[in-house]
Amino acid sequence: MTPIAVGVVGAGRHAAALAEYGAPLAGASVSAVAPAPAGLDRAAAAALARRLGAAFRRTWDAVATDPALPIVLVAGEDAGRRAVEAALRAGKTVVCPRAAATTREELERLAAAAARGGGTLVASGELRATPAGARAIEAAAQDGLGALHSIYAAVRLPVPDRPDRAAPILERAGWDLLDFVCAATSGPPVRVSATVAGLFGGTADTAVVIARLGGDTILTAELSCCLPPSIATAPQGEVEIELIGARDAVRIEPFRAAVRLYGQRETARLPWLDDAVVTLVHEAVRIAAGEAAPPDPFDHWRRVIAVMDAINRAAASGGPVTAA
Amino acid sequence: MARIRIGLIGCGGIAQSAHLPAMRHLRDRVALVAAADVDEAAARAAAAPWGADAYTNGHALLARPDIDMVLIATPEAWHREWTEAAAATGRHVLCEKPMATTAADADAMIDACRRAGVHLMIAHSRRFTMRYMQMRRAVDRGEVGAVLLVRENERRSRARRGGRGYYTAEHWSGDPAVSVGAAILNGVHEADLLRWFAGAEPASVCCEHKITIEGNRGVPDFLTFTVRFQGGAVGSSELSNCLPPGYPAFHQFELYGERGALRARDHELITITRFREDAAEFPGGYEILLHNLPAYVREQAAFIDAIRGDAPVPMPPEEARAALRLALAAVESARSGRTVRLAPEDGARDAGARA
Repeated sequence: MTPIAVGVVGAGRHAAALAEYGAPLAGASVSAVAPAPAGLDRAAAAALARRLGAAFRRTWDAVATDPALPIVLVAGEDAGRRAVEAALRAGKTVVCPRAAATTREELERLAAAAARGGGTLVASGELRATPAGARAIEAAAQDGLGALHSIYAAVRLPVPDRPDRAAPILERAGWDLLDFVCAATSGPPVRVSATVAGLFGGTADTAVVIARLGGDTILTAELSCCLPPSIATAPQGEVEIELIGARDAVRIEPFRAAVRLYGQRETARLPWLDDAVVTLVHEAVRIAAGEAAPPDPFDHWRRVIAVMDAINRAAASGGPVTAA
Repeated sequence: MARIRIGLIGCGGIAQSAHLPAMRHLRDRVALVAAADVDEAAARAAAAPWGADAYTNGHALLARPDIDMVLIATPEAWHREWTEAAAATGRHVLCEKPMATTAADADAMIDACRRAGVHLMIAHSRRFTMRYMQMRRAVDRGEVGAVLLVRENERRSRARRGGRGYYTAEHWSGDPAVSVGAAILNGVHEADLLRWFAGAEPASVCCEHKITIEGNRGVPDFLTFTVRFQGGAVGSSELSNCLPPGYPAFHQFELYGERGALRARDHELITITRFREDAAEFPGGYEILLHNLPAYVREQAAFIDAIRGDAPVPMPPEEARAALRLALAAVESARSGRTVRLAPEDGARDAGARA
């Protein structure tokens, strides 16, 4: 089968993983690379294109709207929502390995763009797209664990070099986690409490969330930039999740790789363990080839945003809130 | 030196699995002279190896003149009654945790023992478990700086179908007339550890709980709570009692400080797993936490030292009362759906989390 051409917007970790080893595994070939909308990764994007022999485009819209590229990966570490929206409007299958929108307004704009242009959004946090994450969700969703009593989730990241400049922990890791949790559960959240604190030099580097979700599943989520340098982690952090059902329980550590390279500050996963982006692009290839039905991710992301909104309201109020 | 003579009130699970084996270990220093339980067979079984007398009524045991110390191992609903009765007869009291089911009962126990001039200690065995003792020493030495985040998971396997496990209809812990639930029975351990390691009093607590065990008659057996301590540290704990057989039942305790972290995570320490037909066991590699014999031996030995005047009571009852207060606040939060704020208390009641 001829690989399907993929355009890449952004030159971060996901783009590199796809370009350097993942594209053949996903049945794709990277044909063009452009910097993310903020343009901060222009040099990296140019270097990546050179390395791959792909075309370098100076602006993201040249990739997002190129009719020769049926799939676009929007993988910039900075906000790539404009690129997602434009690519959806251009009718493309758009892969976004993170929250494609973080407000309801943004999300509805993307939904409208997809409806108008016929594009398909494949948006998933990395956690949900890992093999372990996908299996855990499948088990929970198909009632394979019995009634899902509780979810425990911990995401621990290293204390940053400049904690005062780091984004709040919920922005860094919360979306990925809630994406997973909402995929494993159903219905709106019932009650949410959140303790958000700056403990390790940041303004909001730690969050503990307790949420009573639909189906009476209780979520405990602990997220913190608390790890000293001597605890090596994957770039996604140290992630542990347990789903405890009436019958069975699942425990996953989705980013613990069989092969790790220990460095000064973090543990790099070597690329012979599939990155989530490869799974997502593979799904997009199957959709573009007509082998899989296009997903409708917008209801899912509406729930994710509703839970995050409730968390933020709970953190601000200091007490539990009922989700709107 | 004469052995300390012990009267045991309550000869059920925790007495059989923890306190009696610890006494056997300390037999050169203690002697069980009497055992009482409403279940006569249980009382006889506890007493027999020691040639002790068995009673079905604790008051008959307390009427004996030859008892130095009473070890109370009944369900917590009776801890106050037996502590007051033992103190009134001038006996030192080592009482199983949780201290009581209300703060008022805990206060009454402290007052009764203070009035009688006898020692009272609540058997918070985790404080005598080597991993936590070592971690506490490291914190005290300043190895991680100020503790900022402290957390623990507790995982226990549920009873097999039809079994008489915790929180089942057949077990007293599943009887809402007697048991408050996981927040007190298990959770008081977590409340104590969070507070002990945070080194501060709780300012607020937020909690959810629920029933997860089949056949449970209405006692919440699952618990998750977040504590904000005075000074800003955050505590988090989540405990489940319904894991399937074969799950590596574990405790995962971690604290993160301004200069480093300390962790004790059972599942990372498992070196041998024995797979039985109905459950897995983890016999090697780490000192298991549940019914940890060395911890109970250290606990009893420390209390005996206090009775002999060789050392202070290592865990003043005010500490157990503070843990209970936090656990009860968690229950209140879960029941009300609100964050519960805890006002600072009179220093006479709170001996201080640094005890």
